[in-house]
Amino acid sequence: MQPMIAVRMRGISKRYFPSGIRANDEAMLEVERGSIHAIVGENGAGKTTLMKILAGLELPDAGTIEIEGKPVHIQSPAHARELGIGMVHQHFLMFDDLTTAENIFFGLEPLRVSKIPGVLGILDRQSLVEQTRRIAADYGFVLDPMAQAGDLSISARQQVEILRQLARNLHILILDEPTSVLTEQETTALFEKLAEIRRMGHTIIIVTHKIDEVMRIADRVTVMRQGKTIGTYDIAATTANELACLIMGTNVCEEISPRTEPAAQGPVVFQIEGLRARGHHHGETGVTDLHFAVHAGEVLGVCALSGNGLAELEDALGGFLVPSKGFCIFDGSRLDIRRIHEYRQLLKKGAIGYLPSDRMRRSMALSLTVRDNFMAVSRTRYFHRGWFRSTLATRQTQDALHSFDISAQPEQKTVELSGGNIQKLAIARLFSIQLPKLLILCEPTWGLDIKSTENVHRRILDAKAAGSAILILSSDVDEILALADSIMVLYRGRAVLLASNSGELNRERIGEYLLGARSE
Amino acid sequence: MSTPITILADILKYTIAAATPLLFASIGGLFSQLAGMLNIALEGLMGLGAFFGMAAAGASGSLVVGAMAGIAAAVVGSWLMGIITIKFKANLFITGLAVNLLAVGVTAVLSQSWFHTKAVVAFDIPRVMPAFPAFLGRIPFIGPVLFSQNILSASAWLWVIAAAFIIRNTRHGVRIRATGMNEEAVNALGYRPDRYHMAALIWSGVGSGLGGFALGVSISAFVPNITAGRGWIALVAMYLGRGKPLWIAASCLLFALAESLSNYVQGFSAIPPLLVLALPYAVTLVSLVAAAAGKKD
Amino acid sequence: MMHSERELPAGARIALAVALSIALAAAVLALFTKDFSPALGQFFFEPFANRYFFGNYIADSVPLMIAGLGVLIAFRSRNFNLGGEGQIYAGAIAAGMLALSLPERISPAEAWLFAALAGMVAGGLIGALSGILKALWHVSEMISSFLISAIVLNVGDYLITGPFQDPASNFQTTRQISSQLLLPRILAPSKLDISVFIGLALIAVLAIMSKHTRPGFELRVCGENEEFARYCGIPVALYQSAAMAISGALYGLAGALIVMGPQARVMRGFSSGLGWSAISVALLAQSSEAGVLPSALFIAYLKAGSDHVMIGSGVPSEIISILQAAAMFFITARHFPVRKRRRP
Repeated sequence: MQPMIAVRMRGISKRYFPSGIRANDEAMLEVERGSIHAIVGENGAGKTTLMKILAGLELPDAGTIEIEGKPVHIQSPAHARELGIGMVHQHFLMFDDLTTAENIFFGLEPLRVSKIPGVLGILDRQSLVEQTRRIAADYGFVLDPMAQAGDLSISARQQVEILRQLARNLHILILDEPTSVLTEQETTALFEKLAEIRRMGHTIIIVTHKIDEVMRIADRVTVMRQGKTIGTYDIAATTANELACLIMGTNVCEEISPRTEPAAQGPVVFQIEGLRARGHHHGETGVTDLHFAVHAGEVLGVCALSGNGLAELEDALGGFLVPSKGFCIFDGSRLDIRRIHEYRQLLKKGAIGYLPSDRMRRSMALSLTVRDNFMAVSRTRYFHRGWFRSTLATRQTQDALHSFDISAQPEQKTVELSGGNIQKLAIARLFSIQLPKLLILCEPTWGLDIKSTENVHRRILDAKAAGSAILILSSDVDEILALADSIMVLYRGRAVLLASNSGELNRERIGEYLLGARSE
Repeated sequence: MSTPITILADILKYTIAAATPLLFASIGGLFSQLAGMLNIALEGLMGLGAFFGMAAAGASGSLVVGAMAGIAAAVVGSWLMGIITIKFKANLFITGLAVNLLAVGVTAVLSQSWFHTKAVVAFDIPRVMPAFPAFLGRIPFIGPVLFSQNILSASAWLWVIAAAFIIRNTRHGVRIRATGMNEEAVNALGYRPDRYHMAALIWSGVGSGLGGFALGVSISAFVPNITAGRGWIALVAMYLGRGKPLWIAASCLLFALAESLSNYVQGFSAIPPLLVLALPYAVTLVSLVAAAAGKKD
Repeated sequence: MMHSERELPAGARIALAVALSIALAAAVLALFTKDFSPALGQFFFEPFANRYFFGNYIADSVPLMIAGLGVLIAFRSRNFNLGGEGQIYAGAIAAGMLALSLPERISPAEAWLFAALAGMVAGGLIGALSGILKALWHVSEMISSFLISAIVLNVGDYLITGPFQDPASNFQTTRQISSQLLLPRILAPSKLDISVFIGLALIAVLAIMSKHTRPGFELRVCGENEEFARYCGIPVALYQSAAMAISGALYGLAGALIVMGPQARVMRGFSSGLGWSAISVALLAQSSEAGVLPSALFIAYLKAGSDHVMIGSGVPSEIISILQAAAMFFITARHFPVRKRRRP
């Protein structure tokens, strides 16, 4: 007998503005009822977007969706809920000052009908607690209904989120990167519960990039890459390596950009010892125990998938996050990075050049003009005895725009530029100053087209040849392979690989480190 | 023949009475705070409540009618503020300032038009009934302090308790609080934060309206600037209370005590009265700074 | 129901605000005056009727220009200075008492300079206090500036009616400043004096500074995107405190100039309402120093009309508060919600 298809998505396309990035490109998905179905892919593969469309948080530009055979247009999260679809997000929708029970039953709290019903209805607290206990027991969760949600551990909060969906009788459950914030044991516990939920007849869709976990828990898996669906496979009929290949697209990846010349190792410019920084969100791992060094004329590429500590590393090195531990040795002098003011001085003086990954907020002030953004970082140069040297600023801005092939005018508002042009502007700005001794570049070519990427890579290599020490933080494996002399991979906040970029390392191998399938 | 005890009793008695408008307004402000909106229009809303409440009470001869009118006027003001802030995406602080100015203008113009004066308008209103039987008032010390209070002052405390209950134990209260905690989550779960923002503002209108009315009743009149910054003091009381109605009430008592003391000192000491008038503001400011400095971020 | 929203451009919001306040003025007059027609004339035309009225109207716009600039600068750094009433008062008293205690043979220009400085220092210190409280302990500058202002107003009232009271006068006011030290009048017999040039000059200077100097640039960046400002190494907390201090100083200067003009004394309550009016001036100016000029002229025009119609038709001059409120509502509304039918 044909298995019942709970969810069928066909031809889903979605483009985001103003970046113009095509998040989903004729993507498709078929999920059998009562199964655990995984969707895997790298960052930016389009998995989350596809699920947001299914959950009613986004509208597709094109495509059809069928739920249990019936075609639907999912207009809103409320509509998705009516269809029985619920989503547990990566960043939980918790109400910290409400209790567990209040969180789970938010909006459907049992009322004491003897008093006033309706919106002023008085909560029947006893019934609330009872119902919470009951539903938790049904699925094998152990929770204290009266606990404050803000005090709960990450895995407990996740359980609350899941119960929230189940309490509303939602039988198609979407989990977005559910294990990115869990420890090993918590992951095992979660998987037991998911199996129980499946046993009760619900359908579960897990979005993840962790192959090892997919192999453990899922029945079938859909691989996505660059917004497209590559294929759907039975777990029983595939292996972790095969999946890794499919995700990375090793077959497609023949033309890697020419490997850089092995660096003549100059002196150590920048060294980090024992860096530890707490994660941004509740209990995220952050980074732990990082040690690395960058030499003059060398590129160290740090690679990780999102949620594994790259963001915290960037913030710590960029002076935006005070680490809990860590020393840096820059240009011979040792500094405790926790003394954030002194560290920031290095950045301010231009000795360290930092290119943020967040272009919209940190790297640019979108409401200012292109020229204002360009001159902001090295602004002292553009004021002579207090007076603004307008012609100089405009001229240098125009030179930079031309040199980096940015189609924009200095007087334009930066918000009007495309995402790619904004990034090119940020890079142009960084390289226009007297070349810093250390460059920290975060996601330097994310979202750029091939020509611009090549341009940027060329600049990076030029800077390297001129003697800068370069640290690249990127989730783009190709970029790291193309540019780096040494590669460090982070998984769950720790360095699982730190080695030179010899012939040993290729996409597939690095992918295994990234996905947690291998560790030094 | 005033002994220190009777002086103290007087001061405390006046403190509890003076706390009444502050309690009404600050708890009203609590609702909007819990929904994530700092309502700086409490001052103006109280003014509207005072004027329209007293006018209605005077015209109808009924305090209940007056209270309803005061509430209605303040609710209209907060509704206006809500519509423009929420639907028209305006800045909450600017609309708050606008409501404060609007109250000043509307009350002055209508005062002239209806009562032919911009200055003190005396109203002939019924006496507010005492909250407790007379014999309780004769108990030494506690009698004058607590049991001679009228039902308006008693209602203020009922308001505190009722509000605390609504906030904690009704679906409505939970949703208002949730909106303030995580608006995005409320939206993602299928509920409309806009509705709860508006509801919260309306509640603050109810509280401020009653508070203003209580002010008017306490002097049986309306005067320009009757609120004299009490709306702001109520705001600080709410901030000091850190979202807990009982602590807010305690802060209101503190500021009411400052007002009471300043009244007392004016009558008796050599310190210039105008300086003494600044005491409540000074106490409020110092408390605000102390509380902020004490908060470990 | 799907709502599609269009963001209203600044020009449209200003036009709406202006048009609506004028329409509202006419409506209020229609409702509350016995004779509508003469009231209309008093409100809209009397300010221009003769040199005296016109000069007074322009003179009233000067403190609004100066104080409005200050509020604008505070807005740039995302700060709300609600203590203007007290800052003007403090500046006026400081300037007035200084002028009264200056030695006999001082030149007028020196007197003006010292008085202006006294006003700016007084107002600036008060503003700075709020700024520092915010930088150190995250105390809301809105609330602290209001409370400090309330205290200052009371202290000021005490000083004027007490130690500084003019014994020879029946009014609650300080002694009169000797006439040779006052700012010279321009359009006698109105009270317009050369401070109007100071106002215009300040607008020009601050506009230029904002566009052409480094602090102007850095302040602008702070206001536009705080995280980016940090990235650029701009000391955000310092700019925020400085903006509050400057705002207070300009309020103080406005007060000082009124006192050094034909008013020649500090009268109790003379500046009531100016603090709030300066806020609506800054809002209408929409982040442009040059915009402060037409904005101040407009708000002063509404105020002049309100004063005239009070004398002529008995409608309280507090109409100005209603009109300002209307203008503020509309200037701050960003979106105009338009309903769109749900897709089937």
